[in-house]
Amino acid sequence: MFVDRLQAIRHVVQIFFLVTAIFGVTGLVGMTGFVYPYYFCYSCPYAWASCPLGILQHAFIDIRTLGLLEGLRLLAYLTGIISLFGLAFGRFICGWACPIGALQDLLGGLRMKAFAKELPRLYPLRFVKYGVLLLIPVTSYTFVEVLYTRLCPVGGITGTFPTLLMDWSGWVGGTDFPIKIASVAIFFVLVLAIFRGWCRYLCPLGAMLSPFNKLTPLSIHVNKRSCVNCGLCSKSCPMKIDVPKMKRNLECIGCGRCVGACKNHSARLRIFDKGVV
Amino acid sequence: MTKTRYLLTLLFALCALWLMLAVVLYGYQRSEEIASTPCLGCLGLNPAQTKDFQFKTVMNKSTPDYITDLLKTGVVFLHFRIIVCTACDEIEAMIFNTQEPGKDIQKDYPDVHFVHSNLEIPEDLRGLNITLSKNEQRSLYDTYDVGLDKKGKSGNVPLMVIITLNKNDGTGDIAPYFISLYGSGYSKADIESRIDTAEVLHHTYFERY
Repeated sequence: MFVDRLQAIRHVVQIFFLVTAIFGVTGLVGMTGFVYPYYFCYSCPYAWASCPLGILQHAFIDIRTLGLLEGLRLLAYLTGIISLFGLAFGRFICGWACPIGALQDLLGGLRMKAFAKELPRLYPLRFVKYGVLLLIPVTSYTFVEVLYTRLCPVGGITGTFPTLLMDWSGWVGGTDFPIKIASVAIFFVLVLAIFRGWCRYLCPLGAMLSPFNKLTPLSIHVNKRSCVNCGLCSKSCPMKIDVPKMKRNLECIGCGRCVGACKNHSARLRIFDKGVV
Repeated sequence: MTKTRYLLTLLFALCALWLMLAVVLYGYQRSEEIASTPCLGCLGLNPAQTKDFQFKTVMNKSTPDYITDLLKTGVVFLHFRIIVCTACDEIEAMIFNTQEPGKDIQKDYPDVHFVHSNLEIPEDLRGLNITLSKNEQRSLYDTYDVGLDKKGKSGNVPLMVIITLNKNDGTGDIAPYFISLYGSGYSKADIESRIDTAEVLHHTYFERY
């Protein structure tokens, strides 16, 4: 019974984290120096923490402009926060906490049927996100510019549109506005075409968190002895992982769909190697 | 031996803790600094300012219209000096980088409007496509606390005022923000001050985005 309710619980948790991300709406908290462990733009009118990728870029700009020590201290702060949450939850953050992940889950039902099946040739594209993550510090340091930020569709979704909704007349499109609109459009086409397409192929934060999947106490485990290789778990996986063969896969976002899909409860959500669901 | 090892471990732990604390405190402060400045690059938007947009200076005077107009398209850097002023020469050398030709600070910040004012040479209000009269410049000096004595000599030069936009802490709205850097700290030997000015300008410029 609990397995059936797992997805409902996950969606409640996602809503909770979305509300947490925009806690500034209450007026109880202003902008702080905390960093979200998930993807959310600090330019959202109700944000109260920084975007990890924004801080990453600023850290490398600081290294170039203010000196190695200043930049490294900011970088150490960021890596400390990401490591803390990463060690505790790994990419379960993507599946359970990230508002952009929640948006993709929401849009999943609308996705185009033509792309409903994973195209095998797209599989290697998941390494693109690691390339994007590597390019962020390189471009920030080289050009002393937040180039990724200017392209970031999440900034458009959680920053630009809410800002315009709040005060339509207070803003005019900047030189980057067409780029921003184009990147948001690409994001929507991608996630409508491919379920969790952003998480799979492009999200640099997912790339940042994925190594922690090897270390976190949370994992999805398939009992090989009871598994009948029916393939239902792999079919249900939004990241298109071969679930029975996976062992703390870097791509696993811990959404638990495979746990719900498994008819004989071979796939289980585990904490410290003890099955809980 | 065990006691020494225990003490060494404790000392190491304390050092590590101190280091972590320093990183966390600095990181938190810097992160707050970054996030508190509107990230116009994240938004791809610019604030739409109306013509009657006004704000007060440190002297509780309204900002002149032409300054407000300049602010719509970039950071405004006001630089006040007089003719005979060693510190002014120092600062101006930094801005124009006369010692290292081709490394002019103005070239590093193309969107910054550098406005220079020298009361003794009224027409020397470079950076603006307007020429102000001596009285108008004098009023600019009052607006930005350049401090004139009875003879009309400036007391606070060199003075730099960097005017940009920031997020209002209370409301989160976009609001004008300015920093005044007074000349008293700028002596010939004071290299640190030059660095500070460059840093302040750098932050003001980049954190607009």
